[in-house]
Amino acid sequence: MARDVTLTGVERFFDDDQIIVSKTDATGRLTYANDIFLQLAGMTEAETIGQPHAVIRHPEMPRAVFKLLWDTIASGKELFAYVVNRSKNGDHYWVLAHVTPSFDANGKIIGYHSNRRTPDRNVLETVILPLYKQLLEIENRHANRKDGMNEAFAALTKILEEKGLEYDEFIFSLQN
Amino acid sequence: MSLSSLSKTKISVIVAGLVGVVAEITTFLGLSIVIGEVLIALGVVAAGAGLFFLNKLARELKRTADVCVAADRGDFETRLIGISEGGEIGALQHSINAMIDRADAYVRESMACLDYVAENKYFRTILKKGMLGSYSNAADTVNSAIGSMKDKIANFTTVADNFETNMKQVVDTVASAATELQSTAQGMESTAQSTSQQATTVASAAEEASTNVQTVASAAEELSSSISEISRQVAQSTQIAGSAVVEVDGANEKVQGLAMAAQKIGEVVALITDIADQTNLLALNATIEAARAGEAGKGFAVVASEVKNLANQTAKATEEISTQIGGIQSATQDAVTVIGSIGGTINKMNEITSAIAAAVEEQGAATQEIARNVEQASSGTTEVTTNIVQVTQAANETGDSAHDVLGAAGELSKQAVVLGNEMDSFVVELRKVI
Repeated sequence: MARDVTLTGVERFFDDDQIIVSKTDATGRLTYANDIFLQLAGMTEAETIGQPHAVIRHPEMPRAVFKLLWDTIASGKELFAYVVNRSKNGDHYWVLAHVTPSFDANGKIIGYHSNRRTPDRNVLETVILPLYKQLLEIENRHANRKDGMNEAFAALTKILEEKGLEYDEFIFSLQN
Repeated sequence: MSLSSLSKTKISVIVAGLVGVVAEITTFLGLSIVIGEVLIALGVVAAGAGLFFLNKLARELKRTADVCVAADRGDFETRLIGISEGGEIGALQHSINAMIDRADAYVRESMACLDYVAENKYFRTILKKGMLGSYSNAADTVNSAIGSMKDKIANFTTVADNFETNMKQVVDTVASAATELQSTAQGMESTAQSTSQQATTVASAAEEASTNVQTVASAAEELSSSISEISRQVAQSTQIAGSAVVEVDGANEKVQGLAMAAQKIGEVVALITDIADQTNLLALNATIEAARAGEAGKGFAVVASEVKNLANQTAKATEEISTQIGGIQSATQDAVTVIGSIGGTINKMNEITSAIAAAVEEQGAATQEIARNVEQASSGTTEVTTNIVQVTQAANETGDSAHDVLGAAGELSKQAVVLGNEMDSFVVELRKVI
């Protein structure tokens, strides 16, 4: 499926009581998307299932955060991340994603699961947007995508080290 | 296509029923057979559609039930994908997905947050947004449980910290006390040893002193007997000097008597001299008379001459005697002087003897004093010897005790190390708990 990279600048919202749910297989291909997911992504279930999760990737999302996300969940741990996603028509929507691996009876990762809740606007504006802007600028300085991502990842690690917090502690410190 | 298979079945049944009724009416009215047949065909189609939708409904319900059963068995991975049903059935299927989504979300939240608790991290509580009703209540319960665990662990950590600090202090104190005790005991042991050695030295010194005292005592005794002898000799010489004085006095008296006798002899000699002179005169007279008498007087004259000779001889003899007497008198005088001098010497000797006697007496007293002191010294050394035995015994006991204490201190030191290690591993274990 050809990706439409146009952006409308229109933000979509969902209710605090709602959760956006999706599941992928172990390779990250979508196996399930709930109604709210489809509604916000502006996609049908048929368009969604079997696609890589990056189908809703927004270009303003730092790749370093996804690296952290995949590194973390692939190691069997959960990860919370503020993520901006792109709707099919170029709109966008912010979520606080809780990504967790799904295990079989033997503890083997058989897929991943993401629950998204509405993000705290204040956290988004005071912490996340400036941070992502900084990381994105680092990434965009590099012609080589991977180099950019690695440097932004290193920058994120350094920022956390300066705060004296692990990433998970940092994210939870924002909730209070 | 917002209708469910159920609604479609309903419509099909209604349509089939209506077609049947219309066909019946048409037949009853005797209308066209063609219409009747068309209607029958329609009825059959409607009934077929009804059956079709009924089958689809059954399949959807079966699929839905399967998902419910899986979810009931705790499989939250299964969902209803490709929901084509609208209406009540579609709503039911979407609701079932949503229900599992919510349960899945809650289970993942609570699992993840308890994983953190298992790692002693308490910042990760259940994010309540999107958790509704009972999930919200359960999240509250879990979160408050985590909060209370966090508090307890914080308290526990404080307790463990305090315990570690205090115990470390105690262990350190015990260890340093043990070390101090060890060095004190070592000091005590060596002091006891040196005391024992010194006591031995003192004992041999006391023994030597005792021997010396004995020597002094016997020397003092000898001295005492020498003094007694001297005293006796002095007394004897005083007595002898006294006798000498008496004898000197006697000698003096005798010499005086001798002088007086010489005096008297002198007087007698003078008388004899007088007589000799007168005899001489008489002889002279006789001679003269004889000469006058001539021949007759010749014989006489011879006698007279003889007498004169005798008188002269007498005079000579007395003169000699007189000289002798003078010699005697001068010798007597010398004797008197010498005797007087002897008396003075004896008196001086007497005085000296008295002084010697007094000195000897003092010496005797001093010797007595020495003897008494020696006695005291002797009993002193005896006492010292007795005490030194006790001191040696005490020093040995002290040494033994110090040795025991040293052993105990060493053991204590070891135990302190063991305690410290135990403490350390206990605290490590303790900290593993939190």
